[in-house]
Amino acid sequence: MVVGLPFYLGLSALLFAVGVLGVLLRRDPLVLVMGIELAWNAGNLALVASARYYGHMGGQVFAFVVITLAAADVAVGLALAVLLGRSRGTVDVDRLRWLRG
Amino acid sequence: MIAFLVVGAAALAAAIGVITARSAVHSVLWLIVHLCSLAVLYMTLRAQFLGLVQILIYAGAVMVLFLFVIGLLSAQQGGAPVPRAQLPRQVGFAIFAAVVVAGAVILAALFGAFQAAAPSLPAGFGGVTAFGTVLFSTYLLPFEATAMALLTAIVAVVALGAGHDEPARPAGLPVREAEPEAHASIDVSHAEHRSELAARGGQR
Amino acid sequence: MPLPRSAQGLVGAGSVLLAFLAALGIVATGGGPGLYPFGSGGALTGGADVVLGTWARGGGLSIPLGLWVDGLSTVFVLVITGVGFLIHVYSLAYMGGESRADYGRYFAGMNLFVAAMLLLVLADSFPLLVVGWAGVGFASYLLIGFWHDRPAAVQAAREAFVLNTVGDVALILAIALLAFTTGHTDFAGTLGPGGLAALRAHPGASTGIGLLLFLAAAAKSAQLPLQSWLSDAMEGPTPVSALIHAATMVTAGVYLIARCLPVFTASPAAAATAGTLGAVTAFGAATVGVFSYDIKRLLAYSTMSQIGYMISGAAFGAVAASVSHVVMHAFLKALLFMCVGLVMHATGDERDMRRYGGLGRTLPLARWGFLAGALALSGIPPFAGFWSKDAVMGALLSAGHLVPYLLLAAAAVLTPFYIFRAYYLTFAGEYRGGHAPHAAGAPSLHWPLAALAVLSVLGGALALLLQHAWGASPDWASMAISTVLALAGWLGAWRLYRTGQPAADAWTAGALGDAVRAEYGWNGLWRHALVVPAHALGSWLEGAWEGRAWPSAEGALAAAAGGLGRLLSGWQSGLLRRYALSMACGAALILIYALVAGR
Repeated sequence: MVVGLPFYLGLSALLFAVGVLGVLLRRDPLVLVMGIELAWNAGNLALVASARYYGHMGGQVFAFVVITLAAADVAVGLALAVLLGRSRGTVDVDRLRWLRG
Repeated sequence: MIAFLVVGAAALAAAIGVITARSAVHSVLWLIVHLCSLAVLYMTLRAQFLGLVQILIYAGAVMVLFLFVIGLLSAQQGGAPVPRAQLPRQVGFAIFAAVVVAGAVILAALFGAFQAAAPSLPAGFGGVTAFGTVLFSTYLLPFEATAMALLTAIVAVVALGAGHDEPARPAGLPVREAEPEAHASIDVSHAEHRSELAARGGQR
Repeated sequence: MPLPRSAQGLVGAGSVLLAFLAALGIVATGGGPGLYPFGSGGALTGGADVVLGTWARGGGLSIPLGLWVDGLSTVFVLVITGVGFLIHVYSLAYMGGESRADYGRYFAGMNLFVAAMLLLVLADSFPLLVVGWAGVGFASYLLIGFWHDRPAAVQAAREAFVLNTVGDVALILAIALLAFTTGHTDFAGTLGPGGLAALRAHPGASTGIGLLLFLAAAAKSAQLPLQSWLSDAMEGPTPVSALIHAATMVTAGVYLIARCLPVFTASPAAAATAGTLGAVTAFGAATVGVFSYDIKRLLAYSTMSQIGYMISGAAFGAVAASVSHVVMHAFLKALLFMCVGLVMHATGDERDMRRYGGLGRTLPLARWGFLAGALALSGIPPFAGFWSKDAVMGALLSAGHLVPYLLLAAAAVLTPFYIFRAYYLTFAGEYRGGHAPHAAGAPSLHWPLAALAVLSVLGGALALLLQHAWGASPDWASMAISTVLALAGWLGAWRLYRTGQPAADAWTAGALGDAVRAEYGWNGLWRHALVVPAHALGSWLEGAWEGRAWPSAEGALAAAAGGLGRLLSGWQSGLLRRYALSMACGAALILIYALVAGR
């Protein structure tokens, strides 16, 4: 049996769901950022697989762009985490409720 | 086929490891495993350059950043892990959303969507030469936009770090209470706010 | 910063003079008043359509944008610009007491009126006619309420506008019905041979169109049942009364009915209704005029009465007689108003004839002018009014419309009676007012008056020329009768009032006079039919709805909004993971939608 595009997309969806669960269910901001990374990479897998199966370099280039943005995202996210830990003395995102309406 | 199954299962298992590990350091280690298995998948998908970038930049540099921050925070916090207690109804909705997202795509795949005949690719597809040619010609604008995004991120991080001398007021974040015990009083003030609202409602 | 008065006056009067010269140019280039608009079958045939473009197109209906030039529109254009120019010149000095800003506002309103009126009579389609029709109503509103610090003037302006709007609505409904019946909105399509055939094929629709057109004309021309605004409109400046509420705008209804003659040809019922109501107005307004003390109101009733003649004649097909009466009436009524303006200037804006008397010595020009106008209005040969008023009556008599004829004949006796009553009470006898009258001397007040006086005396020739060109022949028997009727009315007034003694007028006091002066309680009728029920509805709504139902509904609405707000504010928890959850659930729902809808 040949491994087709649907397999990669299915795997990508599973990984994305795992990343979403990580974001939604963990209270540690670091793990939260890692969940976001999982979701980014799930998307990347779909892009690269599509590039392969449609014979188009665009998918790879966009995966590259996503890697760059993910790095930027990590930088900002971690800076926030450090700042929170330092100013509020906590790394529990459920303790942060200033945005409450 | 075998390679896909083995490496894919490894990626999935590592991802689950990331979100279930007790300690953040373990999470990062699982994440490195995950990223490396993805890099292998990229290689099998004729994206050699991207696979290398994935390992060098992502699994290397970015993960080092993670570990560095963990170390920094642990030094401040004494390394106490964050409790697992959940918000009410959070788990149910989260699993609903995850199942819908994954299930919808998998169901669609089972019913025959996304069928694409893999064309025979030209030699050098996914290599540095092909990648660079496309990136700096067809996709020059997205490339430049990425540069702008990175610049923005750098500015943001520098701005966030600029509040260094005054821990109570990080730049860019609205802070209502300056006292160190503020986090303990947040829930109290929240309750007060609610009763105040209820009182106002009763006045009508 | 307003322009200096001289510049305002130059623009105000000069533009109308240019328009008059342009109108003479139309006559010189062959678009003369001699072109009778209607063919032998009664359809609109003559006339040049100057197409400027297409205004709107859609739904199978195309509305052209163009001007229609034929005898009918040329006559109206000449009257509007010619008489309009004289009245503008008269206004230069008459309105001289106003502030510079008000002076400019006055001429702006007058020029707006002339422009709208010209558009009204030159439009080549009904939608374009409506633009002018509404425009003159608006200009009339502005000018009646010119002295906006007088409550009576503001009230009168509002009344005129509301009643005119009733007519506007009727006109638009008539146009819609006309478009449904004939498939066109332009004159050539609706009133031409094809349109006339379509109208004849649908007699019910034709009658509806005719009645709606008459209602529109009644509102604009102050005819029964929408007549009451004109007498109140006399609150405006006297030159406005002369131009708009005597010479031109109020004859727009006559223009409409004359223009739409094919509709009335196709529907004898509508013609009989319009013609009879016109005659009733002619007689009824004349009776009110007999009892009036306010000289401007007297002239207003006289205007309503004379327009009744015109409407009656136009509806019964005597277009030549009717339109010639429009011209003659424009001359003589503008003249009478100018004389009244001089009288009012001399007596400190006094309008009650019981405080006049003996003014003939102070104001000889006003006296002789008024006499010329009165003779012309009375229909005494050979003065102007005779040739046209008698032509209307003669046409009705020879066509056998006996009831309208008798009403008009009765009005023809009353007309010289009331106008000479006004003449003797004003100019004969001794002065009865407070302070001594003083004459105003600006030449621009005098020479337009003199010009109109000449036209009122000799203008009959123009009427005869027009009637001849449009193929109407004089009726000698009717002329004899009319002469006797007019002389009888004059004789009555001469016997009663020639000394100018106020005691002779004692019989107009009393309950009967009060009732007639109140227009037979007509406004009370409207009041009880419309205003009182509207007030009752309003106070019921205020009590039942605004008092009880609305506050509870309002409270329920507020409570619902507040509850919803509290519900949603709970959602805005400030918790990062809650927000992420909302996003994830939203994304999941969008994905479901995309997959379901994308199938």
